[in-house]
Amino acid sequence: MASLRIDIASEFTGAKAFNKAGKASSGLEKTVKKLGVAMIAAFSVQAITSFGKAAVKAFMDDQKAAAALANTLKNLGIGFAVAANEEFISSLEKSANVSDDKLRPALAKLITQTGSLTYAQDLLTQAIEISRGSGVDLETVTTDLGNAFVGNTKGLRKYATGLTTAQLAGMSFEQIMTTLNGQFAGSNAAYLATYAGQMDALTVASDNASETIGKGLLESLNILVGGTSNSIGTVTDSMSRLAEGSANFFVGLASYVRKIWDNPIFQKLIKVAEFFIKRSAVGLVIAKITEEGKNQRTTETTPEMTDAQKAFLAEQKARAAAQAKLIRSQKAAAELAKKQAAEELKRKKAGSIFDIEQINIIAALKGNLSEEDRKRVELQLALVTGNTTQATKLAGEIAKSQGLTKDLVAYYSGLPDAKNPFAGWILSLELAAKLAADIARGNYTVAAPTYNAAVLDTIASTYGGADGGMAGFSARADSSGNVNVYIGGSVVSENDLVEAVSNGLLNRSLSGSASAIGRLKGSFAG
Amino acid sequence: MPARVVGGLALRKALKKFEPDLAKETSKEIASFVKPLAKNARGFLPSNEEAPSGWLKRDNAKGRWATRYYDAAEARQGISFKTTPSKANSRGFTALASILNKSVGGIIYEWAGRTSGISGNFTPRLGGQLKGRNRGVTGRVIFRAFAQDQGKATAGVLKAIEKSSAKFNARKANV
Repeated sequence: MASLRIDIASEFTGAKAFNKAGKASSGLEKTVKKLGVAMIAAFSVQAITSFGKAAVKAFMDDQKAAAALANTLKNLGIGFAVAANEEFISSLEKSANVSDDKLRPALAKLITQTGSLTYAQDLLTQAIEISRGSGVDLETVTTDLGNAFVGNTKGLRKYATGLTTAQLAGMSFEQIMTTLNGQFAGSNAAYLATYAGQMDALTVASDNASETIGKGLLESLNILVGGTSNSIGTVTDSMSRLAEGSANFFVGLASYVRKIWDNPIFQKLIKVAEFFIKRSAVGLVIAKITEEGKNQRTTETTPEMTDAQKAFLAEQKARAAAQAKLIRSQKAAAELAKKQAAEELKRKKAGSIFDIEQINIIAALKGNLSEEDRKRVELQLALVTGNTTQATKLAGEIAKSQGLTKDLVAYYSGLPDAKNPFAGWILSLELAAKLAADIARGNYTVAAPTYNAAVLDTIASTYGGADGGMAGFSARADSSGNVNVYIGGSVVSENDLVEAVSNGLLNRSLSGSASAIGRLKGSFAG
Repeated sequence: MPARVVGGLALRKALKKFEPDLAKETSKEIASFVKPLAKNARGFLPSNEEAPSGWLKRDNAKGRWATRYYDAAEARQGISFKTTPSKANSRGFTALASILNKSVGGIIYEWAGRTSGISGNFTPRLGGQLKGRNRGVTGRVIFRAFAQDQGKATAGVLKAIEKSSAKFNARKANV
């Protein structure tokens, strides 16, 4: 089924139309062949130069790494094994397809950690297997192994050995290596069988080729300048001499040019030449063209203003002034509006205060107030709200209330002064003394108490006597008004009472009760 | 219109073979840029009510236009995208990602009036000008969406390919 398609990203891969394109391009090829040759030459030089630079750099890096490793071996006292070690690296590079640029630093690290060349070489071989199997780069693997050799197994967790951190820490380095070898042995061979492994082999081979070419280039340069193949000193000396010579040459050349220019004969020669050139046909043509160009060039002048322009300008100025005036008046109006807004704000604020006053009054009215205070608050509210009728009424009521209060004050002022309770005593005592004197003189008569004798007799007849259960009951007063007092129980004298208490205490102290023992002396009380 | 890539196909093949997880990740990332385009394009399709009534599906239709009807649901379904490499076209180009309009109705709506102009009884009802100097876009659905996107999707796809290439190389270097 047909469909519309928008290709977001495409790649030219060749197709049926390729042949057609090929035919077309073959025609074009002939046309551009000559140009192509020239371009190829130019680009080839550039490409070769770039490649040469890269090759020389690769060789220099390789040399640097080899020198560093050799120095490490010398420092450890096994300088004699440098050549053998280089052979080992070369063979390992071929067998494992790992570049010597990576192998040398890794081996140097392991040698430093272990202190043994042969052991480090074994470890490096195993490290390559681990690196291939785990996907971790060789440098990290060698660092981890070096750390593990000195007891730091922290880095080994990433290899998924199935062991805990504690288990790894508890294992010896040999045990760790046995575990890792069991896990990753044969990884390198398996990797080399893959496409990526073969690509690596190609990369290593091309790197080596590049290094070899770089070495050759340096040697050839040395030979060109007449030095030995092992020393670059001759090249540098030659370059220094070349630079010095070039600098001297250019300074000398400039000096000579200046001297020639300043020579009077040369100046006269130039003037003569100028004279003849001006009068020659070419000189005349040039002069004419120059003159024409001079005339054609526009000169900048300040134009004079016409009256109409001046009037227009004046009108524009007037308009601008009017506009400025309008802006000023608008500004003033804005200022006024701002001021009014501020005043309005103040009024609103005052209004809100008034409202607060009113709210306070209403709140006070809701509280527990005396009648008079309530009236006062209501009057205040009436004044605040502007209710004049209510205010007049309440004011009258308060005034009346104040009048009643006056009467009350007058009444209380007739009473003895109660502020000092002792002040009234003298008056009371004087009154009491006067009453006593009256009684003594017989001027005072006390009215006999009155009571309902019939009720008392009824009670006596109902509850009195043996039948009523209240044998002790008797009338408290008779009909003539005599009052008799009866006291129940026995009456003892004071001496008898003291005697009885003393005996009681004595008996108690001799009873032996713990509570009766004296607490201070530990003896019996009494 | 399409951006030309060199080595993208080889990268996709290599990813599929050696880093299948990265291949999937790349496809997902490319999809994240192309999918919104398709979604946006679907929004440009008219509903059945908006389409010319005579163009809708009829049960007893016969002749050439019996299968060339418009159905909004079908047209929407026909807008899709692809993140896997396509077959090479007649000019030898292989698309690494594409957006498609596959339904018959959708294709007609996309391009009607592209060559003959907006004239007659049908194309003026579809709207838009696809011919001449005054043309707004080159199509009404996916081309319109692509034009509105202003190359963001293309840039995103290329970036995704570059990113996966960098990741692939980094993994290779770590071995």
